[in-house]
Amino acid sequence: MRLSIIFVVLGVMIGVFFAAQFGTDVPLDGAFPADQYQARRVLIKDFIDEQEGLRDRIAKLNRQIDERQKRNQALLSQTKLSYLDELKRAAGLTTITGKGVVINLGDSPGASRESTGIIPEALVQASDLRDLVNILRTGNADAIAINNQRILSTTHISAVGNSILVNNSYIVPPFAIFVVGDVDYLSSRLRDAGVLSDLKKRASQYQLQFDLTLKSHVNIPPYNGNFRMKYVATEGS
Amino acid sequence: MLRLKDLNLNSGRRRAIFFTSLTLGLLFIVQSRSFEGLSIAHTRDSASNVFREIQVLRDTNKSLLVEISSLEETYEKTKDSSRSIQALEDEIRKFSMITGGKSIHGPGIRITVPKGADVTTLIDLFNELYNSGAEAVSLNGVRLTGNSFGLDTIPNGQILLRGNILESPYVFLAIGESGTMEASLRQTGGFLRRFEKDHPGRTLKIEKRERVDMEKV
Repeated sequence: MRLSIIFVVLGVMIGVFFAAQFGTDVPLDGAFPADQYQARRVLIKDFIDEQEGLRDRIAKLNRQIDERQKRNQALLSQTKLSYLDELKRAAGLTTITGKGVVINLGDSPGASRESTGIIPEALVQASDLRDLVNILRTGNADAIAINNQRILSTTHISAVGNSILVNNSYIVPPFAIFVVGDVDYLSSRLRDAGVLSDLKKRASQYQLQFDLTLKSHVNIPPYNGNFRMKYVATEGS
Repeated sequence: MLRLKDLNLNSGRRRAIFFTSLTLGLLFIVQSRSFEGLSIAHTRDSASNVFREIQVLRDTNKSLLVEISSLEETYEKTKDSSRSIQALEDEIRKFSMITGGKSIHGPGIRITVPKGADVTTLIDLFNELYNSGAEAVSLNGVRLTGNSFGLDTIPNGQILLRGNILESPYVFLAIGESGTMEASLRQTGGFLRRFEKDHPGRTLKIEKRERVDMEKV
């Protein structure tokens, strides 16, 4: 009788473990972190190098088109050229310079993104950067860049493993967020105790770097990525 | 109190208990490792792995090549005086669409987020949509362009967008490849699953639409 009870209890426990295991959403990571790390480094480096070359090419082509259109001024409508300049500025294709703030954000000292047993709270997360960008937008920022990646309305800031992608471009800590805008308003938004509470709490608890510097001159580079226009259309197009 | 000597087992039963206990031990280890992995994955981002990382980079590089091809075509047109006017018109049309100067439409999805969602949920949903290929997004009829769409919470818990209080439910429209966007939201460990975990008893309504319209800003 006792033996039957033992088997019933063990059976129930095994069932519970199976159910919990199958119900757990876990990334399909390999069981060998060192192998995965090496494979990742080798495979990804080529793609990143290629991407940098492509982004440089896009920036150069945008400059060349601008220069060529300015040379064609005699042929083209001045009104339309000025309008196009305005549109390109709004689209993030021009360098923006002005007063602003620089925010430096970094992982906890000693924390490594490549090691096993990472404490997520000790790292700057993609969601921290998203929240920060949102607060800067509520602070009427004119232009924002993170590690030289211009932030547009369509920019997505995502985590892939422990890496962070901005505009699908790899960025690594420490993160430098450059912002052009009203310095007083931006700094008051950032210093508001009611905003970015999770990040501020972790900065205190895990010594994440989170510094704000007011600047009289901030330079925001133009966007150097692609615009997705495959599905969107206007009437008559 | 059960004592080992009370278990007057024959060798077959002992073996059964041994293997059952062994299985139980293994399950303990596997499950505890799963929870360890889950603690890392339980952030506000979708679960991902090294293969996804490679895929994102490869797809990005392909998209950049397409952009280069388009820019090269524009540049060639600007060299030719007869085609430079057309190139200027094309650029104005393209950037008017991007910056919200024209009404736009296209296939896409409509997502209804129930009352009770907070600002971070809405920020993450924007991000998820753009990450899965959305070309334009609106929230409660407000098209999101430039940097002027920060979301704020006022003391009574209501959400502000461009100074206007948003009424719930929050309705997102996104133009893009509807199948990809929907699959991304519904994937295991994706936005929908995280939303349902964080908001028990609530879910998102996700509908594919053949045509989504957005007014100019």
